[in-house]
Amino acid sequence: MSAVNRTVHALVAFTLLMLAWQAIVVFGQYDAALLPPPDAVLRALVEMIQNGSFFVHLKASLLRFSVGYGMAAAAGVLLGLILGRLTRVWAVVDPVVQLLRPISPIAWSPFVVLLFGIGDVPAVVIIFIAAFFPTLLSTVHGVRRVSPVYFHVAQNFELKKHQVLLKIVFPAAFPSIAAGLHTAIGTGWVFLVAGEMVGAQSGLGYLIVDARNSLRLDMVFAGIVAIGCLGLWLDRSVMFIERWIERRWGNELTL
Amino acid sequence: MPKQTFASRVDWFGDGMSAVAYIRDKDKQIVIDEPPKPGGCISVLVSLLAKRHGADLRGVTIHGEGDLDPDGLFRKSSERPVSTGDRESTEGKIDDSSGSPTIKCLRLANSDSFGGPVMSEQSILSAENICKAYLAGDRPVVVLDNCSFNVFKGEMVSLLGPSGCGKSTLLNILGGFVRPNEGVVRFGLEVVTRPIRKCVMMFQGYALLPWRTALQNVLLGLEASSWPKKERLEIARHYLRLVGLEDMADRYPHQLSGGQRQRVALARSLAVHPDVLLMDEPFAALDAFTRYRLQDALMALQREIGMTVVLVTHDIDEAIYLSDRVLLMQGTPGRLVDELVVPLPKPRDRGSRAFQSYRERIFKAFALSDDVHDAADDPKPQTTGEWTAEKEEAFHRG
Repeated sequence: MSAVNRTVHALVAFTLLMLAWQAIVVFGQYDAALLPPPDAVLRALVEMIQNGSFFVHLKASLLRFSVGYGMAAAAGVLLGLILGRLTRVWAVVDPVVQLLRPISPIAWSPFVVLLFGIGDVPAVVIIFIAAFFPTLLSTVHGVRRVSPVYFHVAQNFELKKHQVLLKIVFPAAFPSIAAGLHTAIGTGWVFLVAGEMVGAQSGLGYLIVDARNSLRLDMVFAGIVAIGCLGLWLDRSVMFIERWIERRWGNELTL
Repeated sequence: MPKQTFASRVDWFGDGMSAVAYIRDKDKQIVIDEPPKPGGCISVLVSLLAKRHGADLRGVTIHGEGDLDPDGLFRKSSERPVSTGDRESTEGKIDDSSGSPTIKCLRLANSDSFGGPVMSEQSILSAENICKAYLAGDRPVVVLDNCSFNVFKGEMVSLLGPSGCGKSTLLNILGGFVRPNEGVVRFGLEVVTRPIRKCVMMFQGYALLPWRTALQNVLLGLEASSWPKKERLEIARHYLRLVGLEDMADRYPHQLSGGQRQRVALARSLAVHPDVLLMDEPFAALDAFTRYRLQDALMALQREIGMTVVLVTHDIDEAIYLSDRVLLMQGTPGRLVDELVVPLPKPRDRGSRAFQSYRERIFKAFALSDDVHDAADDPKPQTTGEWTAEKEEAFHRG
């Protein structure tokens, strides 16, 4: 499918969505304060952009997200590379991970707030928890699936342990690691809003809570739209990077 | 086993640097590989060495391909019978000129080892009584049964056999990638317990790293060394040039053809200056044209560098075309069933009569040709039948 085609399809989809939204507002005869029509949401968004509050929240959110996600990615990949190689240790750690993984990061929020107080940290911690497990699991998965022949080659050339990890394991497991990082960016972004609703005084999540408290549902909706668009943008950028690497290395990553 | 061997025929071949004598009896053969001495005479050498190893050459003519000039160098290739001459006087002649000759390769077909450990002075790689079994479920399956052989410096040796006879496993054991259940592999005098850079394996499918360019792949082996970066790069470029891929240095493996990938893998293996190169079916995945070209390239390179090569293959022509010695493997569990010395000068002519006769011999050994089937049906078995029975026994004893 060509890029033009894709853009046309996306435009059609968004237009239909807008029309459906407008139709629900018109035919459902909802109060504009309860279900704001698209134009009101757009006005609210423009208003927030004009008075600068939108960018304050956006900046706070992106900062927390990059810190939380960055730490999760670093820890997940590093631990994954090591645990993936230590079959015995992973056999012990795996059940614990499987136990912790399905727990929503929000469930930890009371502890997080008690331990870390109010401010940037709770949101960062929640994003970390959300992004850590997918990264760790797919890194371990990737490492364990590295073709043994690469290890044989490394052994044959008498590469040292750290060289094997850096020159063989990491690049060989990279497709799987990238997939994990991709998933993690999605889950991390989902829990950003939740994290900011818990203990923050700024950010897109706080913006939504604050707007709700002052019954500005048009602003709530504007926040939702912004989060959706940013999430889409993040996802697309990661995909773009992945594609680039795939093109460079070809598709023969497994022998 | 009687000490005396009654030779029925002696063949010898030379290629300028060395001469090989091939002494045959019904069921024993002695192979002598000896660089000719200046002023020496190959027939003298043969009779001397044959005597030393208990072979009686009296009344036997020695057939040779070629002749020695006064400098002791092989010059021309023509079959003509050479008289053995008087053994008493020739013995003295050799001792006077050059002392006792060394024997590179000796094998008595009845012994249960090929390139026998008796004469292992110059052997660079040796397998001693290798046995390997895997667990299939909870039942052990024996894949290799008591395999012993030596590989000598500068030799090209093939392990030839049908698929499933354990030849790849044996090669992996030689390289230290797989531990045998019984027996040892020695590299020089050292026991091999893990892969080493001195003995590099070229894997089936080449195992190039897809995220590295051709040049970076060749660099991999050098990265563990203490060479400065600039020199490493120079070495890698040199070896890429040697395999004729200097223009492809920046291509990734998926951008290269099968033959080019094979050459990158070869350059990567050679770049670390191994003493022994192990190759696991290196030409199996290539089309016939590429295969022939690369076989020639490998042979030329092997001569140039003077490297020892052990090659696993199921291609009979390939084994004869490339190797100095072919070890035949067969059966489940896999055993070394025979050895064939191919002393033809290189490069070889695939269509030549001599080439065909080696093919025929391998066909017979694997019971692929008709007359062997006939012989097997015969109530009074011919030499081939006796051979197998004797060998089976020897292996079971071992």
